[in-house]
Amino acid sequence: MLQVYLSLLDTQAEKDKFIQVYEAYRDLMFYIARRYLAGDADREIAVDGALHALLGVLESLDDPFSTKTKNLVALITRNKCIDVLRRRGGASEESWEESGGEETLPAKAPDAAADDLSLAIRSLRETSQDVLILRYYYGYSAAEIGKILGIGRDAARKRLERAKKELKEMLEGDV
Amino acid sequence: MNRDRTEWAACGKTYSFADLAQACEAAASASLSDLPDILPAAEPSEAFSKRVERLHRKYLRGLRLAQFGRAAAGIALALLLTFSAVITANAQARNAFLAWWQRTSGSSVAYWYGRESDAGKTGSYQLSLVPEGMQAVRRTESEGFSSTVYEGSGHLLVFEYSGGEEAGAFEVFEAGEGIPVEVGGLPGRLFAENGRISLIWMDEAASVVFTISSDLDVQTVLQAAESVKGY
Repeated sequence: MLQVYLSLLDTQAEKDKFIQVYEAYRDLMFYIARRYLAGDADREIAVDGALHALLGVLESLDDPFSTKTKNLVALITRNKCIDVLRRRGGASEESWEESGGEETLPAKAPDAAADDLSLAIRSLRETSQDVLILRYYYGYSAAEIGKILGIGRDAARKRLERAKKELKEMLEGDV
Repeated sequence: MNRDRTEWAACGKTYSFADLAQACEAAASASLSDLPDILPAAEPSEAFSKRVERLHRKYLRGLRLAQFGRAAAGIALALLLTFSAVITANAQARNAFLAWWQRTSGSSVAYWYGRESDAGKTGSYQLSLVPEGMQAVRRTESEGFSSTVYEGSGHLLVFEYSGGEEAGAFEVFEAGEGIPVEVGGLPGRLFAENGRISLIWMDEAASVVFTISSDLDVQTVLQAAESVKGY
């Protein structure tokens, strides 16, 4: 039994997963951080936060080099950057949630080829897009999303509900 | 992962989970569509690189403890009660210790301390009393961190210590807050989870956190802990 433990521990792929992810996406994470944050220190705080969050979901990443993993790394990093901006602005998580979260970058105009649902999602603000993506593309629960975003389960649930409401309004042409 | 299979209706249409998943996948991919082909190389500071190294160690320890917990499953948790008499504690030591650890999230607890350290370089420590029939089979050392795995007689014991700023200790437990203990007069905590006895104690003066995880009995683990000496 103990030999099983030792042999599992020696699995190089498992040992290296964190380093693989870090080395594969370090440049991407800092690139995203540069788009949001001005100072090197803030960028490193955001990337550090992203790495901590990734550590919590590393087990769920089947392939560190897949597009799906790359998208997740980008999403998490973007959220950690927004988090740093929010803290710098002195807003509490609660007030941030109540205000719906300020946008730091405008949502990009979706291309015409995308279907209605995808278009609508991409027209939402980033924080709303991200919880929907984490929920429906990655299949994470509200608790897991809360952990990834560092906002707690209830806040994640609220954000998810709000995103779905916004999406519905978007699709029904109320926005 | 939980998946909400409920269909979702909007604008006179009904969307399935798969529809939403597909649309979200497209949205996720689109967010990276304007990335340049070649990204500028990141040049993180030395302090950041050290933080990444620490995080990597945390990852490896989490992996090791998770595997260890599974391997040791089946050993009776009642062991803890048997040896409660050997556990001593006083309020002052407990309060000092509690000030060091940080995070609780749901049913899991991460034990850390993070503080400015003026203790300089972390010393070297070893067990001077290795449980009978066991021997060191692996030793890993890096800056401010050491891990030694002892194996023998069908048992396993992992002795680790880390020091300096932001030293980290046990990663995750689901065994509550543990029981306060003293190890050589130093404050600590003892946990029993899935047949694994885990002990953490701290030398605040030296800024070092020690841990032992083992499927051995509590008394043997405490004796091993008491025998830790610097060299």
